Amino acid sequence: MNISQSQGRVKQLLGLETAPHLKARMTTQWIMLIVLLSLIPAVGVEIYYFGFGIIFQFLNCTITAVVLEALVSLLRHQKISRNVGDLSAIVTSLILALTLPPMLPCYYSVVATVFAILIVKAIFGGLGQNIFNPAMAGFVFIMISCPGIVGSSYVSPAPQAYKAATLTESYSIIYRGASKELVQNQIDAMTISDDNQESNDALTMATKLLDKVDVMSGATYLDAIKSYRKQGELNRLDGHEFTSAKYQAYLALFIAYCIGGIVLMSFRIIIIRMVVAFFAAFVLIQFVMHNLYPGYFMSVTDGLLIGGTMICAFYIMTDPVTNAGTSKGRIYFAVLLAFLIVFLRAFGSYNDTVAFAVMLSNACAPLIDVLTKRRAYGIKYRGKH
Amino acid sequence: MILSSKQLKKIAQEKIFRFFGGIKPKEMKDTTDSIIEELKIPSLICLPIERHLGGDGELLVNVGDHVKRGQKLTQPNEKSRLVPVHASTSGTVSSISKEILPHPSGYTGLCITIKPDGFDEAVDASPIADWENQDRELLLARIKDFGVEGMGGAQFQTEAKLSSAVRANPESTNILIINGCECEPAITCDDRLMQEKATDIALGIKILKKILNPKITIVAIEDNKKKAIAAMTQALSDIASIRILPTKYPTGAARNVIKAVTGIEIPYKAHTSEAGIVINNVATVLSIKEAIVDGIPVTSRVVTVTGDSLRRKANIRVRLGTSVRFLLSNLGLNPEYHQRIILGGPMMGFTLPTIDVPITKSNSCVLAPTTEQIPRLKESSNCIRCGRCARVCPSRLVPYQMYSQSKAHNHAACQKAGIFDCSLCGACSYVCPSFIPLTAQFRYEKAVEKHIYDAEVRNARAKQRMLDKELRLKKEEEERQLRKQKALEKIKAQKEAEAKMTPEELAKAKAKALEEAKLLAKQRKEAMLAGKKTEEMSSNASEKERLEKLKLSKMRAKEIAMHQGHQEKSILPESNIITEETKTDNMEEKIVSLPDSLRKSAGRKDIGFVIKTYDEIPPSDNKPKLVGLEPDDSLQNPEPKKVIPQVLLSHNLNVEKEIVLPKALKKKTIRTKK
Repeated sequence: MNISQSQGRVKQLLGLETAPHLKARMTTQWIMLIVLLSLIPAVGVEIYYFGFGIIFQFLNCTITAVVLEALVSLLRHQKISRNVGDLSAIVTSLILALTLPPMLPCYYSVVATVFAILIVKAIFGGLGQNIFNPAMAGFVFIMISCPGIVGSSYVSPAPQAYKAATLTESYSIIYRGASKELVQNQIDAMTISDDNQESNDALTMATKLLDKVDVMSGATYLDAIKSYRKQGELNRLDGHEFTSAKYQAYLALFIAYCIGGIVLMSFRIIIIRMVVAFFAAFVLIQFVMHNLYPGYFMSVTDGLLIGGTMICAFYIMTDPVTNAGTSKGRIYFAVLLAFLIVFLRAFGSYNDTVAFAVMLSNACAPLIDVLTKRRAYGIKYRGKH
Repeated sequence: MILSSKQLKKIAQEKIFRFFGGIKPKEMKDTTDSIIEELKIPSLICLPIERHLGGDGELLVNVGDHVKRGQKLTQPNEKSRLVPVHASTSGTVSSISKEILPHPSGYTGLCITIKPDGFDEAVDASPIADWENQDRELLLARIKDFGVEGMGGAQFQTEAKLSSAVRANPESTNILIINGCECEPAITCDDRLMQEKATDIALGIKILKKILNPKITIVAIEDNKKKAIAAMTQALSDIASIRILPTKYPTGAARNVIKAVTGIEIPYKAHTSEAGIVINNVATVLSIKEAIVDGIPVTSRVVTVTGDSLRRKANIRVRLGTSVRFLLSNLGLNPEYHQRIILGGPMMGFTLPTIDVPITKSNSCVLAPTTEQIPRLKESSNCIRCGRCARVCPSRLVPYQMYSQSKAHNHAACQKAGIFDCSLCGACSYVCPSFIPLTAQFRYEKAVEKHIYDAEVRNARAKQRMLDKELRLKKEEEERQLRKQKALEKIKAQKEAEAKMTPEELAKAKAKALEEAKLLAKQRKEAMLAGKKTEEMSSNASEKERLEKLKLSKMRAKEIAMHQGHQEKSILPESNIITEETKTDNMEEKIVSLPDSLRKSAGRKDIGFVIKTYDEIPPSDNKPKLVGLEPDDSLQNPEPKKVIPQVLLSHNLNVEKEIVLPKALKKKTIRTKK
């Protein structure tokens, strides 16, 4: 049997590959695309209740992220199409856009993205090598370095807020530096007129006035909670009807994130056990602590609905890169995160502490990896017999 | 190890256990309904024999001998577990030479090439008439002698497996499992065998039961083979119980079948027969039946030939040693650009660098897929630690962590992560969304680990040798001291005696001593001369014999080559063989000085090596020089057949190979502490 040989050299005419030759259909690109698509309901809710600001934030972040990714891949002599084409930068920027205040001036969001992509992700070696979640790190960076502007550019939600915070209005606030108070007043007017039609109680009028005062001073609901819990008098703050127009937005966001999470779970992109463990731990700890110290810990419904708990549970905690490695480790990670969120919310000095909790537990992930090792195949074999 | 009766009871209740991980790839089993056909006899048959010869085996045929189908060609050493190989058709042995083996790297190995004469005569079948009343040793000897090996893919010697199980539990093995899972996509040869030859397989199981006397006999079949299950249920009414396992890759791997059927996890470092479990493939069982009841040795096997590049897909019974080229051209291969020919299934098979390789006992499938059927692998991107690989690994490993350790040449950490438990099933690479070639890296890592292990063993041996030498030297030194002391004492005594003697007596004694010494020296010299002479005689005789044998085989090969129209030409340069004629002519000694770097690594301090070279005289070239490239006429005038008589003898020589550690190993070679 002769090998096909000509002029002393063997010509390789057959295709060579390493086994296995079959391949499952799911790719990194698909995973990222599904994550992006599953966030559409949340973006819709955000636009409906908070105005069009999110669109501009998303554009800001995405353009910055893509340009930076291209730059980084040029510097590292890698293919631009490969690094940008995996869509991970766009996922990061969308999550960042969802967490940043909608009316934040454009340069702040650009700086947050630069920090997220360059410092947190690229310096560690690109996709899959970062220790901290880039979106959360960018958010924390901007929140620590300029807390005033971040706190004041939040919008109190109202149904059909997109009518007040239109594209042009949002554009002028974000890019031209116009004041947001006019838009905020319009949105508040909507809420009050809605509520007036519903009921006319003296008590609700009083809370409305209280809210109005808060709004005038630029504080949101979480700010109010913070000022109460600092004095240990959180129990004096009234509970909230999440079906009322004022707080409807939070319920809608909750549902939107749930839909997104179910989509991800059905595609097996996130582990169901991890999400279940997170919610179980969160509800348990929050419930126990609320009953023990009602002055410091908010109620379970408040804890779930307000702030970034839901986006954290489905999108940020489940980021595989910054997570623990094994499935067992991921469950421990989720429990640790729930614990941190509950306690940092009670004693932290910022409004919402999900980002801090996420970064702290990210730092613990390598340790969890070491502590949760899988048993090897057939280890019982000797012990049993 | 003895299973508890509770466990056995559980197994007898037909409980099906789940094993961790596994994937569900597309099945691609297009040939489930095509009957097993017989392939024509090819024009050449090439049988790799290194696996059937071992280091000290014996070749039973020579170039030019006529052989019949089923004739034994090699006889491995009796102590080794290797089995002989048999001629798969009748014909003339045309060469015994190094040929390309079915291996992803295209290694060469010693093969016997047979030119079939077309008559396909067989040696007389020698069935064991009443095997039911025969000794178990006789049956085992027959299984070994007729070349039965594992046909599932690992090609482990069946006799070795059975007799180790018998040795472990002489009265009764616990469980006998017949593996008909065939979890790999695209392969259907076992499926077809079970459909067509269920009764023969049942007979084979009976023979196995006679040898092993198992407490429970189980036939495991995946639930996607409905017809095979029906046929087997009918044939095995009271011989064995059938377990229908859920279709999942890799159920068919031995440890996974055992886990699925019995719930026992046998670690990868232990043999399955230690636990009293023997597992055999259905094709192996069939060949056991053929060896004992029909008296026919293993000369053929069933191969599934499939893939969209073929005009026809089929299950074919192929003579061992048939080339893949012959097989594919018989089924009408219509190759695409850079056609991949995969030997084995799409999950664990490998692409062939050339299709001129023989089919051996372990090949169950030849796959020629188009790009639409099996897309080509894409470039890998970064790992996103999604953990899919860890969720599908049947060995409970965390592949992406192991991969990163292996990439960093951190071999100790790799071992700790469990590289030895990896069965290279390919499930992790299948699910990886970043197209990372995990399995390929693990294959490499395993080779490196083996290298490290070998180096360690060598080091340990060298250390022991050094210790022994030191001990020996110390002992010799002590003995020398003792002798010295004795001699000194003797001299002292003599001097004292001399001092007492008169001068005449002294002279007398001196002369006497001198004479004695002279006699002793003479005797010694004579003995030495005689010894030398006999040594010379014997060495001369053996050298002459060797040269004569070489010449004879050379002449014979020349005759055959002339007869068959081949041009006689050797692969090795002619001058490498030092015969008496060439020795004197063109031998030159050269002193080659090595570069510093090489000398350092070789650990030699002297300046040069003396290298003896035998320069060939350049042939006088009268042909006009061609302009440009030479015309490629390899298709019209194929390269003449090479006949190498030297190889006949070369397999007996123990060539010491210099082993150089790869660069990767020099970095870290620390092993984990146990």
